Amino acid sequence: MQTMLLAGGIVITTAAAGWGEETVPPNLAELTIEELMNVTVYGASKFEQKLSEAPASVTVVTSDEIKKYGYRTLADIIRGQRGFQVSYDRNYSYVGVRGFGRTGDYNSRILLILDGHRINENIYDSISVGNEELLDVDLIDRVEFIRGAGSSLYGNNAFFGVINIISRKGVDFKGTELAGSAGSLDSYKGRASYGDSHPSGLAALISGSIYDSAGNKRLFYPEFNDPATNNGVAQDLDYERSYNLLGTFSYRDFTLQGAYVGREKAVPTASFGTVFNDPRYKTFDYRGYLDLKYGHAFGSLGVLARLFFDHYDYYSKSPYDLAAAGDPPNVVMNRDSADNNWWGSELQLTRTFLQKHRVIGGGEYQGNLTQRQDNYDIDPYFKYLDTSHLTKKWALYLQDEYTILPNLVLNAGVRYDHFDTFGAAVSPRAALIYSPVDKTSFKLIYGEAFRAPNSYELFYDVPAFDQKGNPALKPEKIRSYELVFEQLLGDHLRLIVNSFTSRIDNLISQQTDADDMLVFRNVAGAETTGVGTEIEGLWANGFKGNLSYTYQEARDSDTDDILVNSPQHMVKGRLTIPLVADKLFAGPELQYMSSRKTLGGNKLNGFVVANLTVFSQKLLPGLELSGSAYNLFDTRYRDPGGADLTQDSIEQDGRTFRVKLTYRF
Amino acid sequence: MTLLYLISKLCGVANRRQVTFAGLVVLLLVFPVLSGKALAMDGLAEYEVKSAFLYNFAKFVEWGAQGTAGDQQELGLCILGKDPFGGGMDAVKGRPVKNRRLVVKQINGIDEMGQCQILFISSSEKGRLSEILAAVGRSPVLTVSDIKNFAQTGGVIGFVTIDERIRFDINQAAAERADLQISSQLLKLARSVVQ
Repeated sequence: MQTMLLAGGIVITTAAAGWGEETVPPNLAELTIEELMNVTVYGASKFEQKLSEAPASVTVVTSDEIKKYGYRTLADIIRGQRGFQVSYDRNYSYVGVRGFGRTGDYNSRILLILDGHRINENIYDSISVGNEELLDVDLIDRVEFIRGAGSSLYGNNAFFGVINIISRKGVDFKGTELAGSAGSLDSYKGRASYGDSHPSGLAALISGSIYDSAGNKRLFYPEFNDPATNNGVAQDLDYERSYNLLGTFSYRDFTLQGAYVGREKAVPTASFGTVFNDPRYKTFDYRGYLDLKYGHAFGSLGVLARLFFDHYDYYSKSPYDLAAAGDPPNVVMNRDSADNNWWGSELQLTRTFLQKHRVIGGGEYQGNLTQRQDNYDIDPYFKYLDTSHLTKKWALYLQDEYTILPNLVLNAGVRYDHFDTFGAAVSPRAALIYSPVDKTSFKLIYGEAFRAPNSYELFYDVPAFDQKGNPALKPEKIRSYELVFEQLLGDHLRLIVNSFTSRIDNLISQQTDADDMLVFRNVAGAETTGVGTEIEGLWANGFKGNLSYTYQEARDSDTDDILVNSPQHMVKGRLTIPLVADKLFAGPELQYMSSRKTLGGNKLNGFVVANLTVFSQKLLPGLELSGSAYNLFDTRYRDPGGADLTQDSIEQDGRTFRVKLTYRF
Repeated sequence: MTLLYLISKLCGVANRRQVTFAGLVVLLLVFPVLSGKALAMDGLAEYEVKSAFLYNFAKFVEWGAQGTAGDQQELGLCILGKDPFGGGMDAVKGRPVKNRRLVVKQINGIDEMGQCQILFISSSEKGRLSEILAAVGRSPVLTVSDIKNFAQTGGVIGFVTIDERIRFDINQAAAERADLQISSQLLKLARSVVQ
């Protein structure tokens, strides 16, 4: 019996073959047309390209893995990736990479792209990876993790890497799909999707999801263990509600996509000096966009044009006790918000010259329509901040993939970004990709990337909070050298070794000035060096696995100390074990992170977290059923907290469960 | 086993169960590697997949009497123009189809089309497409190409790539002109059928 599996591409296997039996090499010719239609032939560096030829170390997670490992959010997916880490402060999730996970920073040194659309918003330049992320992970077709400096092609925020999400389209559905899940901590999620494609070239997908979790009923924080603060117990303050909407419509060369997410999260940690155990402390995040894309090939000239409108709105309602020490409490609700709208367009041309030069060139413009930060006490009303700084930026880029010899490629590119806040940023990258023999490839890469100072750092100016803005900030800059070695072992096992060393200058850090005011300045520097190695494999009986190890040292340039929240070792492994051919799979996952330093100078122990998902499909037509246990061994571990927290570190969830049912018809 | 050692060393902080689990994971991962049973990974080259499509098309098309005259042992798949397949055809070359052997050959002009049941027109021939299709005329040949709008301009099967997946359009009228019977199963899978 022939079976097909997907893994970053495709695998074929004789499912009936057991361990000891001889297996045939994968042969596409033995696939049916339906199976061939599911094979992806994909691209990594803005145009179609094989992973081994991309000017970076790239790994891919597919929708198949998302199901089989029971991933609930993008954060779950990221945690399993070589060199990546995610920490959580019970409000937002923070992505660290290459040992750089400085607390108090938002996710602005990673660029997130969804179907070619830039997701980082325009106030904090951050991305969301928890339930406040735009796309329900069920709708992900594939996520590409492109490591290293990527500003030469992608501009701002492509500092340590790019996470590129490609969503599932109407043609992948051909009907209706309903999904429902229930899990520990009273967590429920439902989704309805409908997608279809028509021979005329018309395709559509619409989907909506809703999530509700009560969270932990009681969270104990010893830092607040006082009768006046409920003995350190935050009661019913961990709940979270979110919803996602997605619509993708395409007709011939045009694609119109709209996405929206809204999330409400109660904050149990009394961050930012708020009153502890006050049920009114919540944050709200809304993010959405409309994106119209046109792609057409005029002969050998590929044209891609894009016009988009984006929205991001955040606000928090925070209780503050304004009473002087010793006086009875005088709690006032404060509202902090960022309200943002922007539009932009992009034009990109691709052409091959003399059969040796594949050239990609383009330009981008982004104009901000609303860029407002606002802070006030609700009752009695008092305004602390209401600032609107409309900024805009544009960029031009050019990249040439020059095939010097059939097995030697030089990929060189440069991008010029212009921000009206600080001026210009130039980001070059050069990669030499050498394949001495068919299954081996070496990549030597030098790249520079930047992160522009964001509106929060520039313009958040509230003397009453002892915080002032700094419109003179310059961008942060990274210079990075990488060596990537990729080897297909045996027939189709892939080994990757990726070493890197980067120097970061002009890091924006919050300082206390002589006048006791907090201010952001380009004062810090860091160096991060490391090596990651990863082995990916797929076996004849449907067995699939991935094991990676990362060693990294991220140090402060001035003190030479290892950075806060920077584990030196990480090990990640995941397996898909077919229990009943093509029908029932076990997906164990294991993640180890070594000790990390906290802001308070403490050391958090290293830990191992194991997850296990049992996934079944085709038991009944159209039905998929899965059961997952997260943190299977109930490991107690903590993530470092930011300066906004009284707690130096935040304990993470113990063992939780989820069951999920998906039905397609 | 160095990996196992590494893991257990790194898991110094972990308890026994976790180390056991880690060991199990590593063993499961390493064992099949050592026994050399690895299978495919990585993204697939577009033309490897297209070659498999071509082979499959042959199974779903019936040639008229004239089309199957000539060599009864071979079914000719001809590539007209610059060969984009590289080694991609190796997997299908010589495979049995309709009791014949699939023979792949590269041709440089339509005059060499004699023994071709399937004609793949490379995108290098884009500029000459209308001449080529005119020259093919009513010959009993299954024309396939990934030149844009191939099926719409009179070819029989045109590849299109949508969301990195390969789809195809079929021109029913062109198939009839060439006296080809395309199975309803294939027609059903087509993105669009041009009448």
